[in-house]
Formats: sequence, C-alpha cells, structure tokens
Amino acid sequence: MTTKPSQGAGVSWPTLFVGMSLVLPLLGILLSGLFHDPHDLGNPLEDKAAPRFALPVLDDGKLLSLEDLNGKPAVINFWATWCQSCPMEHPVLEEAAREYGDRVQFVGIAYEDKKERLSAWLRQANRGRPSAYPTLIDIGGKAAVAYGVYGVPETYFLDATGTIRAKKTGPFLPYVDPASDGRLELRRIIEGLL
Amino acid sequence: MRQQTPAIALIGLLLVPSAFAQTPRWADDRGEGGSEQQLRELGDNVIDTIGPASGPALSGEALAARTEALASEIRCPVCQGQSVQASTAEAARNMKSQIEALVAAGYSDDEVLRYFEASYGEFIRMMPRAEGFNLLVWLIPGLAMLLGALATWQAITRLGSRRRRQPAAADSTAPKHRDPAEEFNEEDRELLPWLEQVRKELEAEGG
Repeated sequence: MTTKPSQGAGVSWPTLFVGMSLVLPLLGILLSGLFHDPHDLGNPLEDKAAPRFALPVLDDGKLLSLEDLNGKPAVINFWATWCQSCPMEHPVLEEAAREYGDRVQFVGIAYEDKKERLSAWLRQANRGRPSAYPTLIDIGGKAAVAYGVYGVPETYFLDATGTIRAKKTGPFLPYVDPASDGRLELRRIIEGLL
Repeated sequence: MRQQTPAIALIGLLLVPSAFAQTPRWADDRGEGGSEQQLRELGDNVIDTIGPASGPALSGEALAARTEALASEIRCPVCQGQSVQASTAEAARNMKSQIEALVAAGYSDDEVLRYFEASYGEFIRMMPRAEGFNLLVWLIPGLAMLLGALATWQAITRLGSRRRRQPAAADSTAPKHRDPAEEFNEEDRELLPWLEQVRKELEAEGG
C-alpha cells in the first residue's frame, strides 16, 4: 500500500524563504558559539598604555606605582589567597622572577584579600624565604577594575614603555608535557617583551 | 489599510532601540559643585581614561538613585549574567562603590559606562549598544513577532473565508444524502470494500 502526501501540507516558497532567512543566521550564530570559549573575552587593553596605579606594598605599606616599573618589562599578576590554582602558580612566578632578576619587574596585586591572610599565605608558600617580587594590596579593587580583571589569577605583560602586550587568563601551571607547561609559556611571553 | 499595518509596525520596531537610548530621567538631577577629594580617591587612571568630569557633583538621594540605575546597567564580571546592582559578590560591591564615586564626582552615565568598557569591553554592558551586528539582537525578536503576527492574521483570514464559502456551497449544491465515498480520500476508498463487508456481516448477525 502506498501513501501520498495530503494536499494541505505543502509550504509555499516565499514562506520557506522568509523562515530560512531568519532561522539560518540564528543557527549560524548559535553554532559559532559552540566553537568559542565563553571565558575568553579578549583584552580591550592590548597594545594600549597600562592603567596607572599606586598601591601599598604588603611588606612596608609604601606606595608602588606603575611609573616605578617603567623602563623595563613588567609582569603584573593578580592573585588571591582564596584562589584555588594560585598556590600551584606561585612557585612558577617566583622561579621566573629570580631567573630574570633585574631585567623584568614582577609585581603581584592581591585581589579582594586581607593583609594578615596574605602575609601568612606568602610565608607558607615561600617556605620562609623572602618573596622574589613585591605584592601590592588593591584596596577597593580599583586596579583590578582598571585592568579588566574577571577572576584570579590573571597576568598582564607590559613592555618597557608601559604598554600592555599580552594577558594570560588562568594560571601558569608546571606540567611535564612541554606543550602545556606554564613555565615554558611564561618564558615565551617574557622573551617577547625583551 | 492592510498594506499600511506592517509598515507602521516596522517603524514602531525601529523606534524601540532609540527609546532605550534616551537619556534617563535623572540625568539632569545634579547637585552643586565638584569634589577634588572624590577625584583623588578615584585615581589617576579615571582621568587618563575618560578625562575630567563633565558635570557638577551629585549627592543624597539623587546620587543613590543614579548609582543604582547605572549599577543595573553594568555587568558583574565575576558573576553569571548578573548586574553589579543584583550581585552580592565583593567584586560587584567594589564596582558599585566606584560607580558611586564617579557619579558623585560629576561623571555622566555615558562617561561611567565608557570607563568600565575601556577595560572590560562591551561585555560589561548589560544591554549591548544598538548598533552594527548588535542590531540583530534588537531587531530579530521584534521582526519575528511581526512575522508571527502577520502569519497568524493570514491564517485567520484564510480560515474565515473558507468557512464563509462552505455554508454557501451547502445551501446551493450539496445533495441531502451524500454518498459516503465522496467524503473519503483516495487512500480511504481502498478500505470501502472491507467496510461494506463488515456492514454485511453485522446485518447478517443482526438479521
């Protein structure tokens, strides 16, 4: 037994065209979203002058400003004691800061944190050794907003003129696999600034 | 009139984004004099990004109302789809304090939005600008509603005209006792012999 389509089920070509011209672009937008990392929001400050700041240093309370870093490349790392991956990233940054010494200025900016917690955290993380770079306290989160920080850790790379050249969202983690080793990635970015 | 209706609806649709782009009612509700202290607290970066405040300082209820309204337009960057006003996160509270300081110092709504947009991009706006590719976000829902309304209207009109035709046909041409076979389509007609056989069997059993 054969079946035939009923007469009333046909769709006119103009209706189909209008429907498709609405549905297909929407489908395209949704499909492109599948291949885009929603957390990757870009960096509007790339190749622009780094926002100025003047924040107290954790150790002595003296103000350290962006102008104090100028003249050599800088690595500005926003972090916090409550951040899950920061304990794993900290040794990577410490090691790099010691390796590059005076050639690159490393700065940590504590995000939404307290002085007492920060001091205790750093003492434990550095195992009694002094930090290789200063930590600044971002009171009221003004520096974080100025740099467009979404979460911690986030690291900004400035060239010698104080221009932001790169941004890393997430931690630099030490892995054995060279393709995903954060230590190598960090050095690669810094070498690009020198 | 039929042709004018979609045109009027389309014009109305195009006016929707501009209605949202209007200056809020509190835009001119400003207080007296600027505050150098507030500007200093905001830091040099604010001046670097959006320049000096374009208006006089604001305080009191007007300041609170404008801060809340602006905080509702700015996205909390560490939250999921929440505005700074709606979120209880510390980052949102910090941002709201900065919004308040900027408004108090005399910055306009547009200047405050530009300040946050400079570092976070357009993502920070809860409502994207109605321009370029973003226009699709504004136009497609309205366009879809318009087309849906047109399709519904067309379907209702077609149904109405069909109903008007059917009674007229019934009055003039329809026989009083129609052959059931005429009401079946081709596929159903293949079943007619079987139907006839069932009827005969039922009559035989009954009779």
